[in-house]
Amino acid sequence: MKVRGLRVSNSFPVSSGAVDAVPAPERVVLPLATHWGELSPSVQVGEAVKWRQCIARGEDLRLPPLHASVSGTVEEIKSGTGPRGRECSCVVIRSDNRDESEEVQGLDENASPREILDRLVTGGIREADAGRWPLALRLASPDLVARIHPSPREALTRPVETLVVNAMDRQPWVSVRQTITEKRASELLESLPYLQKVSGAKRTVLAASTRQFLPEALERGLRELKAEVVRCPDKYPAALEPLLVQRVTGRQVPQPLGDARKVNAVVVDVTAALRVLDLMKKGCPPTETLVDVVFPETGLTQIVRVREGMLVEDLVNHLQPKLGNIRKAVLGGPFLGYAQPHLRVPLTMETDSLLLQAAKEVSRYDYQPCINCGNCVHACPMRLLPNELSKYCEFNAFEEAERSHLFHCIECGICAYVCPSRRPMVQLMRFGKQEIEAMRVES
Amino acid sequence: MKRPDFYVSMSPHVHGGYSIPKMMYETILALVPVIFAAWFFFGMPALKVIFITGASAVAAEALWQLVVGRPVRAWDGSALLSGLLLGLLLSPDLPWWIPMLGGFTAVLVGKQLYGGLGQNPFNVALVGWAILRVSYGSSMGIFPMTDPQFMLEPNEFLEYPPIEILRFDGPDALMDVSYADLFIGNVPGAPGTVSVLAVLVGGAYLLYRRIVTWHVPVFFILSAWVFAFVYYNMDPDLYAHPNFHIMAGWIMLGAFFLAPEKGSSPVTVPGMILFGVACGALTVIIRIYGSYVEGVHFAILLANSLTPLLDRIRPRVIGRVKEIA
Repeated sequence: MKVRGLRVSNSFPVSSGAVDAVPAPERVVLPLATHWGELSPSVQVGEAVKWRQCIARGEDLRLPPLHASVSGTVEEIKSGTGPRGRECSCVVIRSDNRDESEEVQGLDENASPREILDRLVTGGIREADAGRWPLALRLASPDLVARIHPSPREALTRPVETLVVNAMDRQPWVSVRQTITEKRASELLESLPYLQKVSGAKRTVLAASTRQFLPEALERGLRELKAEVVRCPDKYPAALEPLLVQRVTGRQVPQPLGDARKVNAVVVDVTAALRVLDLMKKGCPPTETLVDVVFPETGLTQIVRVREGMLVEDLVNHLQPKLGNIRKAVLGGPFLGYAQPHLRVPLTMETDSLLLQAAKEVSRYDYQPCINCGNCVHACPMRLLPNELSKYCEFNAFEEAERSHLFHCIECGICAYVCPSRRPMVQLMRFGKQEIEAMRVES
Repeated sequence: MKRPDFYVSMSPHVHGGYSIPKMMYETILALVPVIFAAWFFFGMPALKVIFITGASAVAAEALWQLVVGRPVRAWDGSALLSGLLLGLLLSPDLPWWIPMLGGFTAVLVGKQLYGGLGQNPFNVALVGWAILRVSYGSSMGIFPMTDPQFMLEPNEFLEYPPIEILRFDGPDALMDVSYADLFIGNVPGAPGTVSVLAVLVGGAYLLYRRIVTWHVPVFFILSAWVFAFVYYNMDPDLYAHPNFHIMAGWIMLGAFFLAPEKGSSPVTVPGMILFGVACGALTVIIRIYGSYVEGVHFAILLANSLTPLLDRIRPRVIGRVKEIA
């Protein structure tokens, strides 16, 4: 199946792949929101916590719990900014700089799928791709799902046929996954058996883009694990879940709420795979995250390893000599990210990139009416008619928008990127979706 | 509410840098060879007409936007493009006020009354042309003989546009028309339409820059050829060869510059293909049965009216699959 998309200019310098480990900050802010619901804190203000100690879990135990990323004392529990710019409560921990860790123990190599799953459920892995389900549920084979979910949705009772390990970055200008695949190939290979075991997948696929370099050792190791490499077009939305699954399995993921399990597939990106390995082998729940910091004005691209919950402000101070005057800060990359009103927002596992823009890079949406040029129609990877949808949403014709499959939109932003009228397409689509959802709640 | 420290907007946070003026001026750049051909074969009078229509179209747009209190965007190139196209369709012999009237009416009636750029159901330049054709029919149909500026000799054998020769003298008379002349453009006719070569150069640029996708031009020309071939096959003595049909008259300019106009042509691929086919078929039908000698203009205008219908033919949305039990 042909994947539509954009080749975004490659003139931009890609990071060298060197990872700069940023020292743990004095204070971390850990948001309690996840994509699937909010967690409630299990620690009190003033309590001493150890590094990697579980500090919040959901009422629904399947939600990924949260672990302290530094050792220290809980300073306060206050309202702050969550991973997608929404308000949520956050636990603030003041570090004692000792990194005293909770005791951790790895699983042995012959662990049963049940043990692996239990680890995954309590491991608290969160990902940049907001999947339909938390990682543990998404990966678990049907008989394992039955253990942790009394009445699972139909999709989760399907066997996993294809396990897709995604080595492609979600969007241009971000190279975290590419770097990991190159530099940490052996660990990546080690993590695959765990994923295969817990999912019971018949086919394992490493998805890489056509231009991506894969180390020889990785390709050899994959062959030993009976995994194959599928090369995907080097175009922008090809790495997003619905399109990736379609490319690999040849089957379209039913929309809306694209759930790859409905076509018996599951996607795990390489960052999550390495987190799984840490969790299984060493027993360490993830408390660090890799962030690709991009500042186009000075051509800075640098991958940094930071503790989860580190504020962007602290990271910017750390990198300051290489940065200029920042006018826009985007958590999550140029196409999919969320612009932040200030820098006192935490970097979380949901973030794989931080785009900082100087005044002249900021693109403005001073938009004109749609001129029906059809650029967006030719670019839309979901084959929608974004021109019509945006007009429906603009003029409050939400029923028509819904009938024209507004909810199939994956908000990749290509339509806005190519629009000569500079219309804020994604904003209009999201507005329409929110209004329709509000109407559904009312009725 | 507190003003945020930073710019905040929805994703995406980058833009491809494409804009309406860029699109329009690049199309005008693609028209340069056509304008050059018009000057080459018909001299300054042709340029004068093109200048008058272009200037009057921009003036009309600016005036209208001032009068109705809209932001004045007359310099975005869209009015200029329509004006230049209209000028390329008019005989260089017209008195100055006819092209001026055309430029005004094209922009006002063809575009602004419907709401401006991209909202027009019919091709702007062709609306202007049609109004002039209906109003001043007799002078609109008279085209001068060619007078190349250098290198080439004037074509003394042809006094009328080849397509008129076909209509009035029959296919036998086409012996005088050489394909080389048709290709280079050394034949009488509307200045912008005579030179297939110039239009192809400009059209190639449009395709290369993806301002126009290949569907409309290719299917326009292809369907005209096929329909003409059907007739030619029935009776070669009565009907002209399809190669003549696609090289004579307005088909090339229509296929690359007039039919794919943004706004009045469909946006989906199946729609564009059918639109091209409709243009080609209607052109040949009008040329053979119509009371007008040339068919492209009315074919495109008629096909424009199909656009809203054609836009309803859309590809299947991805992810719309029956749930497999």
